[in-house]
This record gives sequence, structure tokens and C-alpha cells, in this order.
Amino acid sequence: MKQRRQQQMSWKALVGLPDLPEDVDEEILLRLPPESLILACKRVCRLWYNLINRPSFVDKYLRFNIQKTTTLRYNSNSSVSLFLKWTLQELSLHEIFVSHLRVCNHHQNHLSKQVLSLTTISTSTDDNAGGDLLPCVIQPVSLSPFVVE
Amino acid sequence: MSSSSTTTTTTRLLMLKASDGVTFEVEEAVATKLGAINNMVEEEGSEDLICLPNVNGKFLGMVLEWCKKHANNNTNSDKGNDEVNKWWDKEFVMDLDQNTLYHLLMAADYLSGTELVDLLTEKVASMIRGKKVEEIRETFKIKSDFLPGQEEEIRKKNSWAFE
Repeated sequence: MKQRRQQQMSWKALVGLPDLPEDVDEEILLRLPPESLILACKRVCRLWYNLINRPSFVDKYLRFNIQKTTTLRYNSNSSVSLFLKWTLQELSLHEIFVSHLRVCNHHQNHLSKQVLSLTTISTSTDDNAGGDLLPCVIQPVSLSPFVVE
Repeated sequence: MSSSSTTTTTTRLLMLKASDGVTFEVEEAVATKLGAINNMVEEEGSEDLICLPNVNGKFLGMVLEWCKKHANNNTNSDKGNDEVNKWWDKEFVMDLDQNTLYHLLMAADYLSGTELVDLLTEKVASMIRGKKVEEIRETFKIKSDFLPGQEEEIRKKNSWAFE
């Protein structure tokens, strides 16, 4: 039995999404595509904003989606979302990522800070992928950079 | 009813008591689909009566209904089983109102019914997918608690990723 929710809950009370335990909220958000998380969910309320920005969520999101992609191999258009954490002052890493990700100006104000971003690598079968030499497309999909103090 | 329900059959029966005193008699194989019950059975061994002070009878009943269906379908070694389960799951979540959905989700989470939590969270996620901020707030009746300007700042910070 889970220890952390020993308190009595009023079962007649009307509950809403924000009343759900945080791990349940997390389970829900894990199932959403990055666009939905970043463009919509993050702006819904503080609770979700903080949850989505949290490194532990980012880690779970990555694992969950890799697992899902590997079990859904029949899906011809699969993609894996990767969260990248790097320190901007390390030039070598910075150079690698700056070529793929359009780094906003405000990042550069925190040169010594670590930044977390989400990149989606998709093995796309549509568009002009047929003649493309690269097997995957790296899209600059980013959660608002999470600055680790 | 007490724990005197001794049975000569091989399937052991457990008595689950909800917060409002409602009791359910269920086969062990059904109840142990819930991780929390499984742990209790393993730990406490002989106890046939399990009290669940955090789950209301209405929702415990629904959770057990789901467990029963899945336990039954799993014992039938029919190859169409997966399909049957999927169809049944779809029916199960189709007409749930939001309040029931959340209570059920909390009950399933509390009882560590992992598969049921998967099913229900997927249902909630499907209600969010493709919606805009305002639509999500409206659907789930969430009030924005950002300070004025904060939300706009978040929008600006993030929108470049999808230009």
C-alpha cells in the first residue's frame, strides 16, 4: 500500500485534474507528444509547468517513449524524443548542438548553466525521406531550457 | 459477514472492505491483479479480510469489475483475447464522466493497478491531445495561476521550437 497517501480523501468531492496525485499527472503527461506538452500543457498551470520542466520527468518521458517506440515496431513512422542536457560553456558540446538547435539569445546569458532540451529523432517515411541519405531527421524540438542552478 | 467464509475449492476468496463499509468477495486471482492487494496477501498470508480505508465502494467495485474481466480473459487461452480485452477496455472508459474518471484513477493508482492506471491515464491524455491551452483549461476546468505576463513569456520562450 502506498504510504504517501494515507490521508482520507473525500470521495464525494468533485475532483479535477490538479487534484490528482502528482505521479498520476505525470503518467498522463508522459503520453502526450512534445508539441502538446510544450505549446499547450506547460501554459495551463504552474503545477504542470514545473512538472514538465523537472529533470526527473524529462528522464521518465524519454524512457517511456523509447520503450513505446520499440514495442510498436510495426509503426513505420516512429520517432524517439531525446532530452539533451549540456553545459553551454563547454564549447565542444555547444558547437555540436548549436548546429541543430536554434539557441535563443537568452540561453547565452547563462553561459555557465546547464541547459536541457528535447530533440525528436524520427525515422520518417514521408516527405522527401526516400532519397535522403540520413536515416533520421533531427528536429529542434525544445522544452523551455531548464536551467540547473 | 466475517472471515468465516472458508472454502473447500482451490480458489481462495478475499473480502475487500471499502471506506464506506461496502464489502466485496473476490477470488484471490482477481484481487491480486492489484499490486497493493498482491503485496498484502503475500505479506500477511492468512488474512482474508482486507480493509481499504482510502477507496470508496463505488470505485472499488468498478476497479474490481475491471480486474475480474481481465483475470477471466487471461485464463481463456483464446488468441482473440487481446482483442476482447481491448474492446472491453474501450467500452469501460467510453462513457465515464470526468469526476468518475479521476476517482477511478486515484483508486487504481492507490491500489497499484498498473494496467488500469495505464488505461485511464491514456484516456485522460486523449482528452488533452491536440487541444490548445484555453481548450485544455475549459475541458478540465483549470484556472490559470500564472502571474500576468508569465504565460506570455513561456509562450515566447517555447514557440520558436515549432516554427
